Amino acid sequence: MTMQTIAESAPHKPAAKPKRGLSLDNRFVPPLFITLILLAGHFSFGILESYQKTLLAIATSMVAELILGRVFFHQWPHLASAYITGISVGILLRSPAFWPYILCSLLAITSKYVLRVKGRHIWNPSNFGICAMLFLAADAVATLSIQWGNNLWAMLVIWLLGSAIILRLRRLHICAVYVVSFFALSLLRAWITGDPWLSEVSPITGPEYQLFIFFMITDPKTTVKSKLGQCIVAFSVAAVEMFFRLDQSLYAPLYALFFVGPTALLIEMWINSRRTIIGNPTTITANTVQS
Amino acid sequence: MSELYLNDGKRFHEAGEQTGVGFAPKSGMSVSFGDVFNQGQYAVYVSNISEDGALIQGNNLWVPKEGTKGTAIKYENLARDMGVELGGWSFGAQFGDLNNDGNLDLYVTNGYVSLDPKRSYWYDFTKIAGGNSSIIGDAKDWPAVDGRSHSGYQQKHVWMNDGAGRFVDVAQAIGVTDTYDGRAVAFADLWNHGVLDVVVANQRGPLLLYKNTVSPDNQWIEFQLEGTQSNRSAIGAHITLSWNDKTQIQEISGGSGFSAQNDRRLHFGLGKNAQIKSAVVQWPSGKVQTLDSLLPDKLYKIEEPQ
Repeated sequence: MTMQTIAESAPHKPAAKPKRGLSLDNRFVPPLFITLILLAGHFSFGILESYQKTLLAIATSMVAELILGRVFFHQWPHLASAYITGISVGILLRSPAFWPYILCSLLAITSKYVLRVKGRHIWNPSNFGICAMLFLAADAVATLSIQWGNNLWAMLVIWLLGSAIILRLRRLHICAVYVVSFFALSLLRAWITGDPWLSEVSPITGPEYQLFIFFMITDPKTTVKSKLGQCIVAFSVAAVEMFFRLDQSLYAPLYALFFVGPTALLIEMWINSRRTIIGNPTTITANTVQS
Repeated sequence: MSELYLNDGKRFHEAGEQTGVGFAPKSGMSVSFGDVFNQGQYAVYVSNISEDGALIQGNNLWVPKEGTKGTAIKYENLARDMGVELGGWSFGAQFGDLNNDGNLDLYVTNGYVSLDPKRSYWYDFTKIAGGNSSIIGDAKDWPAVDGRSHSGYQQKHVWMNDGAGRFVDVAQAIGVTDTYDGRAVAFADLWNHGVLDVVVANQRGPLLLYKNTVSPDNQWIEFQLEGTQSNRSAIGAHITLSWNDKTQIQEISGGSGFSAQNDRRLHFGLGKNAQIKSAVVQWPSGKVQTLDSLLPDKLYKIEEPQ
């Protein structure tokens, strides 16, 4: 999920100033956060299908990452990203069988190495893996949607922790734009469908959306570089999600990101290549804008 | 979360997590008990909700792990391995030997709301059900059902136990083809013909009575117990029957499955050429009675000894 990109993107940033006292490398923050969500969610509501299945997803992701990293890039990759992918699969995928956890993790990690354009993978790995499973094995899997507790405190903890972490990683604007867009479009959906507005708002109050917002749509590796572009993409995800929702798609946000994310990246690559072709070597790249 | 309370003779102790049944939260629609391996131990079948593309909980068949018993008993879910996992929006389930082959079979009815078959309520259901409790808890926040189906028109499951670790669904082949919104299932030998017949109660539908016909080569034995020191209906009594190389335990239950109670006469299928060794009755009073010289294809009326 997004986190993995955060972890991977860390080395590309300018070297941070040495910090005094206790400080945590950014690459370890997302894994720590998602582990906390997992533990809090499980020990409060028992969200996990089983320990074995979650561990299986994590182990599969990490082993696949090690092997594919070695095969494709001839180096041992950092495993923070694979850990997050595995744990995301373990939380979000629901199936009584073991094989979907293996297959989903394999698809997610493999997509990073195989589905690449100009050296970049264009799908958020977890999003890709889970959507692929929903497309291909709808009779065997579902996502975590209605079986996670509905109490308030867990949601608040995730929101507060998530916001603090995303703020530290300077990507809170993506979450903010998505949330504001979701609320605005929920009004439009309620007007179109005639359903109660709160029924349209309800999904975002569930823990699944917190994972989606904090981990998936903020993925630096699979989002565009400019801040404005990120805001546009966040709005686009919410907008496409609205159409999926009007079509009564149960997995609207995941499908929206599945289509919008790569499209936005391809458009960004196309724009950048046009600028290069024009022959302006000093073109402001997305990275420069962000920095 | 499923809860399991073990009785130490004085009080109950919750042991869901310790025994393995209380881990993943599911919807828990009904519970039934059956000695599916003929090993003198009950397996526990819990029906849950599954809908392709929306929610895959899977039903649970909790089988005692080998070598565990008493307060140290542990269960493993073999529903997938044995082929009884996916039963739709499952409601009532009952174990009983429907073909008298000596192995307990499983009947599961299902279906929640069968209205307009072309329009589903699942999307609106998941939309609101995953949200915060303050939204879920107020009916005015829910989209109207508006005549839509919600896991409706589902095919029922009659899973025959092959005695080798697998259940095979034969519902369509043997005539269980209704698609009503099933709720309760109960077994009873309604014609006193040595065969379990099936009664199914449906919501917004008729009561169904499936008369069962079984090959006469397969034998059976039935027991009608009457308590004297125990309760007269003998609710809670167990019979452990040994024949040929098999041992099966059954209980007279005050209720099992979803809002249902089977005939209080216990029915054992025996298969062919049955040689019955004994039947041990454990009465609720604590008395243990051993019955010898039993013959197949008979109903025995047993009174609790004084």
